Amino acid sequence: MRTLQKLTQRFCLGALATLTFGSALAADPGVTNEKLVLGAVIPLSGPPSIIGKAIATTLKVWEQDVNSRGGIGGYVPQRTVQGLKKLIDVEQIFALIGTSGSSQLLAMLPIIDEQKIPAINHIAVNSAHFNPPHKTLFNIGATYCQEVSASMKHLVTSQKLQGSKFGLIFQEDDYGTDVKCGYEQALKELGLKSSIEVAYKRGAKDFSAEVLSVQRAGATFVLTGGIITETAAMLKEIAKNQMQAVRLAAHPSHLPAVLALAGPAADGVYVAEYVPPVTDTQTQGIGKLTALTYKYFSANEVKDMNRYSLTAYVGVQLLESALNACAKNLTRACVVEKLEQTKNFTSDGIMAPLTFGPNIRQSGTRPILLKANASAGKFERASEFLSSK
Amino acid sequence: MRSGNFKQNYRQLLALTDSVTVIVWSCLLVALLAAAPLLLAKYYVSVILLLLITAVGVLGLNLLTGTTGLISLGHSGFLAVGAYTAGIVASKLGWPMLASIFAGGVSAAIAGIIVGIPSLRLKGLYLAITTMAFAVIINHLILNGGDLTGGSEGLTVPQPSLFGQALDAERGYYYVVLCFVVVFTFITLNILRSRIGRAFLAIREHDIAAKAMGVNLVRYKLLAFMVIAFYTGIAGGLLAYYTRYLNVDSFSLLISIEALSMLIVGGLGSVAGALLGTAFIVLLNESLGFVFGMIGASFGGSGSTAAYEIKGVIYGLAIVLFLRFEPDGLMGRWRDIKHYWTHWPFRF
Repeated sequence: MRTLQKLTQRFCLGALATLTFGSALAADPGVTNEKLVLGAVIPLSGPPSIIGKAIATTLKVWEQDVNSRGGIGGYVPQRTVQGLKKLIDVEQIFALIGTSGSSQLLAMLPIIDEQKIPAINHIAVNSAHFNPPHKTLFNIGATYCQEVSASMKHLVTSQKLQGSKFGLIFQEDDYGTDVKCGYEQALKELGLKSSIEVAYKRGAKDFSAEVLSVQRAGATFVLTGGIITETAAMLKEIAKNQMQAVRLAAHPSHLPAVLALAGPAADGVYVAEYVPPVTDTQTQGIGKLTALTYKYFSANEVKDMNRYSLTAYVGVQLLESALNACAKNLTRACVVEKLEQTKNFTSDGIMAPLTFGPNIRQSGTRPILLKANASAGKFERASEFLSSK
Repeated sequence: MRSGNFKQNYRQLLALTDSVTVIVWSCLLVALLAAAPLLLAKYYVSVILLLLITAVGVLGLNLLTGTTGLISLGHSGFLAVGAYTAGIVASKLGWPMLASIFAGGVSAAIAGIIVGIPSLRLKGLYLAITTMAFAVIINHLILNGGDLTGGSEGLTVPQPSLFGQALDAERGYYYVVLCFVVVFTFITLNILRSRIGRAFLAIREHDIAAKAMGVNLVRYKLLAFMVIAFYTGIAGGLLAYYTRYLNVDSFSLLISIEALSMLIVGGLGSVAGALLGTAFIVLLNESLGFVFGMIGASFGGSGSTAAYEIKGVIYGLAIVLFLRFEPDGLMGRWRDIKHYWTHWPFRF
């Protein structure tokens, strides 16, 4: 029997997990008769740690849960490129269950490809991650372009907002480019035109000029393409200017910090997502994760949970399923094969069912629209899972 | 009885070193570095590899800031120019690795001349801010470079190869980088003992006095910027082939600050100090990562994630304390130890 062992390290955490395992034809690194070593590269310091810590907690919950259930298959079972090299060469990981941000994953891709390491990307999905497909990298979730496009189309059609004037405020980087892609795609497919698109530099704190530009253009529908503090600042500025506009944001704004920072100004803002609110414990999968976190940790860890906890949980469950399927022949090739054969993998309502296949390395793209309830301090469902088209 | 180290002719004065001990230890260091890929796990080799690439850039900055006395915060810009040039000519034009890295150095050197022009009239903080503006402009140009730079999505660089043979980063490519470090260390030592090096020193001590002695300030200040930009561009090219993916996030202003801290910790104006400072900062970061990884693992739960925040604080605190209690850097500490053993039992 092998135990799951998780590795965690610095900027990029190498979350290492040791799963309990039985006898296996262990030909690949990270697999012994007693344990299976998995790693993740995630940010654990600085501003992005709000994401990394939520993921780390979930990975630890899963580690405890898997091991308490007897491990995998009935057996008893850690700066980005450097972090990955450490996980591979020092910790001898078998698979990667956390791949940091979008550009960080792109930097790691040559190594992942060369070493043929099974990797699950559940943090930030970009089209360059799966187009062209990489044999061992499986991406779960929609790109910003996909989620914004589908959510915006649904919002405009369902609320009959075709007569609106549309405005976009976006960050001048890869994130902003992807958000802009979704905005332009939605308008093109709806046969509508953009009134104004305003770019801001990363790290900007004051959005008075940007919001004023959008207001002067007469926008009644604003896509606030910020991350956390940026979105909060934009929402406050929109409220301050008394703009009567429908506001939509991409999923990085689906964090409690945005509600806390924006206060009442966040009320009613829509968020393009592909997971339900983390507070929606009625959803079976979320209820289960919350209960497990209470069981193995404390209310503090539950409080730190956010949307990234949910995507991480789906990612490790998917990997667990493939590990179980290869329990008697635990090799990287087998795990990749089983992941590729995934058909309608359900996550108890956390995400739309996942399906992969030959050259299909992205799934779970169906978006869900959320709406902020500032007085309750949480996000609520504004739709069920939508079509990804 | 001789009580000091006297030079009796110009040959002795211009020698790289008159110490057999220094030669032996230097050869031993190179031999150890050459043996590293054979003795260490790939990750540890990759740490040394990154350290060696950083050393090339810091050696250049030492010539500008340590030797010529000109402060630059545009190092990250030169690094980006070198890395992106190497990446572009390699990925889009199919240039071979060495030619691409050299192209990175040359393009950065040209940028160095352009940035150097304001240095003719500016000093100190004013110069620092001007060079910093250069780095900001470069970041902006990269972001808006379209297909040429890959914009915000970044640029993929081909695997390093030499004479058609693909090189593994921690094996073959490591030796290429090691050769660059050895060659650039010799070039730096040679610049320092030449007319150019002495002109740089004269400018640092008093530029008007240097001009009165016949040092052409326009020529030598521009030359200093061109030389350090070339060094940094080469480091950028080496970095491009190491990471094999370039993104504007890799060239933040923090890199310029970190390079200056390496110089100050090592000891300004000294080649050995620049190398020591680089090693100190890189290894401090790595060792803190290791220690806090261990501490984090022992805490378990959320404690393991909190440990990483503390690591950042200790990293900064270590540098501040070092600057406060050893302003002459590691080379100053080394000189004190050497004098103690040379002059013992006397205090000086």
